[in-house]
Amino acid sequence: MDRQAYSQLEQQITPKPPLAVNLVKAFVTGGIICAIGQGIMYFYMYFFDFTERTAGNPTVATMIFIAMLLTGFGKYKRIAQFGGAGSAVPVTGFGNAMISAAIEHRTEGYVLGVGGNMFKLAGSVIVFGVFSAFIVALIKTILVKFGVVGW
Amino acid sequence: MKRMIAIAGASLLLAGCGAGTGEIRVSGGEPEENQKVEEVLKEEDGRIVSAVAVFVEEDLLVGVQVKPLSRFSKTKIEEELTKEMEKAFPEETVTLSADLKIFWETDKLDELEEEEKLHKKVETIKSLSKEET
Amino acid sequence: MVARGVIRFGSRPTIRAAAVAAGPAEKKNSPFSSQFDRLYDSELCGQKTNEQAHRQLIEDACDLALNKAEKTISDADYLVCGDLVNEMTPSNFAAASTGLPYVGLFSACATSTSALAYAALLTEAGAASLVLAGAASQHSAIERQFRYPIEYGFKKPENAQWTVTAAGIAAVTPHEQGYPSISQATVGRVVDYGLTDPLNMGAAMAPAAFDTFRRHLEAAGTEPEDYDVIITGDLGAIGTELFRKMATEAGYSVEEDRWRDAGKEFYGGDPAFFAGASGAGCSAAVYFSDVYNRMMEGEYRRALLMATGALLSPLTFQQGESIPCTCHAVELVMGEGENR
Repeated sequence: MDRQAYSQLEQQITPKPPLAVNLVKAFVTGGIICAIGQGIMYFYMYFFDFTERTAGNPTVATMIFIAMLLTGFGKYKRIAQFGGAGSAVPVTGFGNAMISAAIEHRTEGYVLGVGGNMFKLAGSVIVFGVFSAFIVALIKTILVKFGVVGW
Repeated sequence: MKRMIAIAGASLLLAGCGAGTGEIRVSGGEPEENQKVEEVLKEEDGRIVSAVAVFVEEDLLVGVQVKPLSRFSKTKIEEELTKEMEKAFPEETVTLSADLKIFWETDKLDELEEEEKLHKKVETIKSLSKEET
Repeated sequence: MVARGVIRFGSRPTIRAAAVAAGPAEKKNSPFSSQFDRLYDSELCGQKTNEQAHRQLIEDACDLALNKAEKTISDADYLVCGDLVNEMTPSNFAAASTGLPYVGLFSACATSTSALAYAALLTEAGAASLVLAGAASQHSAIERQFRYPIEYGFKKPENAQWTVTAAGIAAVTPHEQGYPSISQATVGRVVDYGLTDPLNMGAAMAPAAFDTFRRHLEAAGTEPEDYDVIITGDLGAIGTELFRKMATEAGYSVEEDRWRDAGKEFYGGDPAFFAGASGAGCSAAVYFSDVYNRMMEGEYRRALLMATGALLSPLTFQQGESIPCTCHAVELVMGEGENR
């Protein structure tokens, strides 16, 4: 069997990821995470002096904290196995990427292990997060200039 | 179990879509003043879901909630409404916000009886509405 | 010389004893767990780090194999083993604590059979009276080496495989009656069919398995029917199917229950482990427990062990290189007469 015939056979046998099912699962998982986030935001607004504008910060911190606990207890990877991108895209995915690397490198010490490797995966989130924030801000500035949206 | 989830989902959906068809409630002022506030707000009716307005001494506090898709132009709506309110009530200090927190707090103002507490609350709302991120 | 890369052992070195130490996931989920000699309840095996646990498993398997062979460490002449961690440190440390002359072998997940072949050569050459040969892997240490942190959440596809926590060591001695002996070994070529998905290693390894399979049979002048069992290393569900398809196309008749795969069977087909098990310890654990025991009981009289290995590193696949693979075969026979 030559390479080409083999790669065709391989494509045939390797199971295709069920795209529709995965999309629905990701939607539901992501939706639930965001709904929890919204609930926490309302909590901060209702019981503390935070406005819609300022409640975002403590909410993000709380969500990351929850994700860290779930990661530490080994639950987050199960959520991710079910939800796929639904659990990776919200800020909880960022928390998971950070803390999982920190746990992994704990044995190499705090400075070179935890400190040096914590952002091994999350680092690219920061890099591309900053980059895409720049692009989005650019687009929004243009839209505001043309009066399509307000700040 | 599946049926439960389906029922819960459906009721959540209905609750979500049904809520928010609120009203405009104005209090604390003379009847004609109240009427005037409602008129100003109704001009914006297309985009406003519900609103609460309260007159406290020199202050007019207005909390509005805008429709989901109009939230993109929330600041614009705020600006416009504030301008119109100030035109209608030149002698009052207008504090107007489309923020949910302000809406809630303004809504609670009615329940407060004591002068001192009321005054404090008004100051809090004013400072909150100015707060940046 | 029989054929290129094929070694026939005239003296018939014997596997005098074999032992397996494994971790908690294997204890709970593997149908072979009752045949493993030591099972740990923690992935860390009472150590501080995963790498130390890895080393502990190798040391345990060495001790257990020596005990079963009724020998002590002073009777052993060599330790031949390997693992998948960078620079094979767990094997190196284990070798340091045994104090034996040591050869570290790296053939990725095919180390179990390459170590057996090497041990048989040492014995055949008259250089050793007892060689400890085997391979090991530890889930957390290996996953971290090749993939993401253990707790990192990402969706594994159905074709992914689960690295086992296990070490298998065999005690190879000059020929003795009543034990399985090594009659022939085929050193694998490195075969690269250009597959690049590190989460679908079974598919990448199947062509290597088939290449060695054909070379071994041609050199031995045998047919698949001559073997009681033909057991590949860690092809998993997908790799096994591909391997069988290749063999069928080449005119070999595939027999479902004689053509086994250690990786596919390791967790009893549990979908929680996706396409099955992988890792250097996977084939070692099954060969040195289930297959060995069945040979001792006389159920298998002739077995073909074909451990497969994917020779990739995280660096090469991130640079977009394909996954070169190999497969080393060792033929075991029980009793006299056959193939002599």
